[in-house]
Amino acid sequence: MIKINNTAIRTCNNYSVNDFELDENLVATTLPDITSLSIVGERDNMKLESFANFELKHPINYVLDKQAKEKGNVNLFFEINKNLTTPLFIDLSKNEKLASNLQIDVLENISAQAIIKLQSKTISYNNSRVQINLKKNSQLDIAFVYDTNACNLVSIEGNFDENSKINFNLFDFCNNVSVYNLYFNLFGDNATSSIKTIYLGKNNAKIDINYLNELYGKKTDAKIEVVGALNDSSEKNFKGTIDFKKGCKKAYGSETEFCTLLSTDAKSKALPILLCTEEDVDGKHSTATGQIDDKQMFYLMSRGLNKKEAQKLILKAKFNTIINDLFDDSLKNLILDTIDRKFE
Amino acid sequence: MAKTKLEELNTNIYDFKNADNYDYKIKKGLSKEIVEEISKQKNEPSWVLDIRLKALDAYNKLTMPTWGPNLDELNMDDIATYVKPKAKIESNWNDVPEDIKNTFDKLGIPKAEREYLAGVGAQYDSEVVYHSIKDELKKQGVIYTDFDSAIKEYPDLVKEYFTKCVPIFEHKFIALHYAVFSGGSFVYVPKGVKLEMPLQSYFRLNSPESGQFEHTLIIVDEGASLHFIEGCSAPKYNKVNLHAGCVELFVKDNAYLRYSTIENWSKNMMNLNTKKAILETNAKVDWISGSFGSHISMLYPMSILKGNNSSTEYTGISFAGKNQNLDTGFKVVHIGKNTSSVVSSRSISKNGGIATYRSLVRILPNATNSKCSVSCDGLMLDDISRSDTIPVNDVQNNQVSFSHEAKIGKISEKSIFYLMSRGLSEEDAKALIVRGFASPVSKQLPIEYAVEMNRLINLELEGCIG
Repeated sequence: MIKINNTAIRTCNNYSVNDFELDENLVATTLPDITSLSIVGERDNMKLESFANFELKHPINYVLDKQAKEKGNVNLFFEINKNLTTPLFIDLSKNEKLASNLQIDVLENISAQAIIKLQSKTISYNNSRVQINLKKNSQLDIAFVYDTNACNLVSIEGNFDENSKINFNLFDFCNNVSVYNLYFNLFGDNATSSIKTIYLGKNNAKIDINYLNELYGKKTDAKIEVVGALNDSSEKNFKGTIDFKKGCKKAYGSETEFCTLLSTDAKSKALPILLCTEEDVDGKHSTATGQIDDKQMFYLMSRGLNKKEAQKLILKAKFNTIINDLFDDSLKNLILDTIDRKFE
Repeated sequence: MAKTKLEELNTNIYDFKNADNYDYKIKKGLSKEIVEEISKQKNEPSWVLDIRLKALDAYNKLTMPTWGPNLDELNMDDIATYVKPKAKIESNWNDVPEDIKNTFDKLGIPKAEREYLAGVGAQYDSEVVYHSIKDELKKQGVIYTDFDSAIKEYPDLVKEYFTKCVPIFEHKFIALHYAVFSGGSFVYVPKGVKLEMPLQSYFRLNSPESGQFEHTLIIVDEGASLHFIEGCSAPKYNKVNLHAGCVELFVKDNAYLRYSTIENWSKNMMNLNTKKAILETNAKVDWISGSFGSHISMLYPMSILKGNNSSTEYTGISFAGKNQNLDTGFKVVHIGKNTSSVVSSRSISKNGGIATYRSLVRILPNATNSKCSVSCDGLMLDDISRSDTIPVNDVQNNQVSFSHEAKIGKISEKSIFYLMSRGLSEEDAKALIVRGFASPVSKQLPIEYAVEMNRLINLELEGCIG
């Protein structure tokens, strides 16, 4: 076992939440050339290069980080220099093993959208590094969609300058091991980050989500919203940290997490951390775990829906606040279709 | 708003010290010889020494925590683990040596005993110097004595429960505790006996560069009820003192226990205490905790909801000032069905103090129909302090209702403005808001202790806000 995805601050070891223990046999030792890479976007509005050379401050694990950085079979660098009218779409689905490096820079006063999709039954390994850099007054709406049977290991770092804004969405519908490591650095005054995540765990899926927001700039704003459901023997750890650094006066941070347990064998852990060295801030978090309300189920089933249909309807309603706010209609449909499929 | 920053005032009313007069003080450090010498000094049975030596072995094997406050300042080679005062246990205050009696007089213990307590235990350094209980309770079969006497007088009862709630190997500092424990209280409340007035044990550490390792074991039998109050303090010295006590609570079917602590250790104290309760069917334990003192605290009382329908509440406040790192919180494990827990924690940090709320809620697979609600609030009174919340919530079955919420921030400027518009000064307005913030804890205490806690808050606030 190798320990990955360490929390920003450690707590008692007996709680088994400080890190995620990954079976090292799941780590690919060979990385063949990729067979498919689909990029759709407005080429005139961006610079695209096939290399990406960046360091991550808080990678998922240094060995895995080195593997992707040195042996990566996908390397992409996007510099978006004009407003995009349609989202940049990157599809890496039709590959067997991936180790990728993706850097997206959005220049000053530019707004852009991007969708990164990995949806495939054939892929067995994904070790992904992502860096997002938002310059002054820029905005990025971005969504990552993971729906695989792979060992899915993802590190994402964001650096946000003054008045920049990111609407970050991550969807996990995987059936194996999914580990997400996210580090956002809000160093510019008035920088804003909104992180939204939906997960659906099935079978023996293990999901480990570790989000860290460091707020340095004045009047920065960081929100984390995570909603999901666990079925069968699936397990989820959510570790969310909002770290108010000294000087981030008038900053705001909130994190909410709601997990619905659909099975008696499913397990949910949450570690919502608030760290604060600045007095003049407003921080809060809330988490809740429970089952679907019996009365709601009874009502829907009395109207003719079977158990799965009723569960699906109620969960879709819980997910709706996130899905409705998505920036692209085709993305909304993709998410809704995937949820439908997961309940078949 | 402008702030008037004053130096931390020396307002600690507990900071008075007696000469370091002792009957016997063991050499500093921790070794097999020292552990055997403590056992010899206490003339205790061999089975207790066996536990001590097993614990010493555990201490040497276990590693220091890799989380929480930095404990580098603690060097066991600088700590004397056993200090026997020049006094033997008495049941009449007049028989207690003058300087020690004066200490407890200043702390208000004899007065409290006369007015509203059913029994009192007072420990000075490593030994209990006074223990008393009302006669009518004795007649009802209530046992309230010091722990050393309990080992000799009630060996079967002690053997049945000792180390069964908090095992020797639980962590490094509990292993240390079992190796060198001395003093503490033993309480047994028989079936159906309900104590109307509280019992109180007070622990005073006077000797510099020493440790206090008292063991408190309480058994509340079926249908019985008890309110137990624990107080602790020490004068301040330049070098580190250590407190690594242990509290084991057994609360049987349909029994009730309220365990209240007002802790005001001196600001050179490392307070690495362990408290745990095991609750049987339909039992209830309420924890009330006020942490004001110590240089470093790692204190996480724990309830094990073993029996069906058992329940627990935790209401706690910590107040971290200059050079203080108070890492406190609560742990609860739901094992039985229909169990419930309610956790409410408040922390205040000021003058560079660090207040951390660290917790665990674990709901196990068989704990169906369990409910848990947690709320924790952190209040920062200046921009040189730190306030963190690190809660772990582990839910392992789907028939539960669990919620957790936390807030962190400063005193609302709107609230201050409102109160100032009603004629209060800025300082009074802030103090009023802080006292209101702490009121969930003080409301749970007997009135005399609530007054004491509010007085502590006032002293802590003096000179730090405005």
